[in-house]
Amino acid sequence: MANPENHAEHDDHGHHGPGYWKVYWILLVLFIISVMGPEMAKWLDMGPTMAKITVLSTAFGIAFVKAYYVIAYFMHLKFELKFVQYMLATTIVFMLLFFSAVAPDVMRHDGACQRWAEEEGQKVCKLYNWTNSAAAAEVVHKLGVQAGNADAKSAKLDSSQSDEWSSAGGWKSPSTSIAVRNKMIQEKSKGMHKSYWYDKQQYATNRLKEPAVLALKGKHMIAGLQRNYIPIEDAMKLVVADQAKPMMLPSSDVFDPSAPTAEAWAKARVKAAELLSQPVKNAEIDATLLAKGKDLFHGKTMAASGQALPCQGCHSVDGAKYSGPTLKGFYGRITTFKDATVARNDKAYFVSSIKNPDAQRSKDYPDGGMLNVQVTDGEIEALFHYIASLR
Amino acid sequence: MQGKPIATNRQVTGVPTGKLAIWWLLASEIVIFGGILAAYIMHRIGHVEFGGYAAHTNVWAGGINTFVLLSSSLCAVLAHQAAEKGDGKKAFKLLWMTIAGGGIFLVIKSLEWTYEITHGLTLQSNPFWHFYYVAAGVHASHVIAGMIAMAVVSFRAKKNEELQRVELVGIYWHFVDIVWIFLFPLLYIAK
Repeated sequence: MANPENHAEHDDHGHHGPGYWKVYWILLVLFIISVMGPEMAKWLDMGPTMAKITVLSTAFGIAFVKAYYVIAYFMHLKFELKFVQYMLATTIVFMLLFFSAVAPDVMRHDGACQRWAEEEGQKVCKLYNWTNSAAAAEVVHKLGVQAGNADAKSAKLDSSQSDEWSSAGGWKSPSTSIAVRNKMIQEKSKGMHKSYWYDKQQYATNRLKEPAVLALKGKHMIAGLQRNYIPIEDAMKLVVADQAKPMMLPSSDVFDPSAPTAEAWAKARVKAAELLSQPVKNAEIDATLLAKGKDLFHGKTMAASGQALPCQGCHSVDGAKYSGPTLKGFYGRITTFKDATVARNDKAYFVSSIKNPDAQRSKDYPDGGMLNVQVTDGEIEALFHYIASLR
Repeated sequence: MQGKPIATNRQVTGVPTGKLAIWWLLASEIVIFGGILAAYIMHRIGHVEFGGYAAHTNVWAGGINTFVLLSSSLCAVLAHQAAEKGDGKKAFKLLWMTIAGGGIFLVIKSLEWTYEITHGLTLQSNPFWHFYYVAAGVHASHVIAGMIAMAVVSFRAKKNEELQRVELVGIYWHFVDIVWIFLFPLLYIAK
């Protein structure tokens, strides 16, 4: 049985505020307004700023009013002892604390600009002091998902793409930077789609041209480039350029009569063992060129092409495994190539790896894995002195 | 009643112990749902592409569910009113109407999810759908928990026993309703 004392207390509640049914009708009216508000904003076509204000005030403002009515009159918190109210308010403060501590990192895609440049009379950021690579990867992922869904409907790709983005723009932020970024992503994504469908004939015969595969490669590449603090804009450009390159099938994909035989691979292993037993001479290193190469490699100075080199996005210098081979101990390392030949890495191989990466390819890495980078012979020389010094 | 370890009307703080425990439970729930909602909001503001994804959610399903939960909250508070008057049989009926509301909510939710999942919008599609399924899923699990708790309380209430518990499950149920009040505009309306 209910405690009589408590009973009296509860009766007392009844005298405060509106009755339960009245609160319910208020809640229903508020609910209808919260659904109709955003719909009205759409029908009346009141422009982005007004539409945003309407959606925020009806959908979200009213959510708070509804919550207030439920908390105050259904949960009776309004008539509860103050310390209970403070207790619950404290947890909300913790939630706000969490938000304000984490949101600055999550909501921004890149940090303050470290290096500005003038391009066509406009100030453009060349290097951010940090970049949210997860967000960049998400953009690529979204493109991949869309391309995958639009499979075999390439003709419609561009229109479906712009539909998606205009619906995203339906709730535009007044902040120019977000609007500009939105536009930028839209432009980039169109470019990327063109490169996915670059050569339909080749797509038909080459499984690797599948958008999902390309998007996955692009995603890894962007993540790698971001590690090198390459701004997302430049990273996108590099990926788009790379995806426009014709790609070769890996040998495992089709039966290739010219592929090395098992016997050839066995010989290659013997040859590698032989090479390993021979003494290796270190390259002669020039200290000035080494320093220049080091700055180039790590993107601290720009290459003559105006590009910060993305090397360290895929190649570590400390033996860590990234998507490309580590450059620690590169010089003099024994490499087995796709044609089952074996050699020690020398300067000629280093130069050819940059200028024409697929000419002589290690058996462990796929064709097209190395980015085309714009470097002069002098810069390759400097890079070589740095790489050869990494033992 | 003295010495019973379960929700009674004993009190040392001015608030019945059982009720205080419910408030503490809700305080911890605020942190759980608050974390999910705060993380969602910061992603929603920081990532323009979220708006495009939210356009695929079904406002009708979300809207009907909001109505269902609001109505079930009314039943819960009317059950509390009946319990206050010592009418355990009426409280029992009203609690089962509340449970039925939770059932309708779950049926609509599962139809909605079935449609979305079969159309390729899964937990792994993209960060918006991660949040969608996690936030709504954690909420739905609370709906199920509330239904079970109410069923347990209702059978004692029918015998006019432990009537104060009717208010306690009600408070929990209203909280579940409030979470949905915020989830609805966040996941369904803001596009």
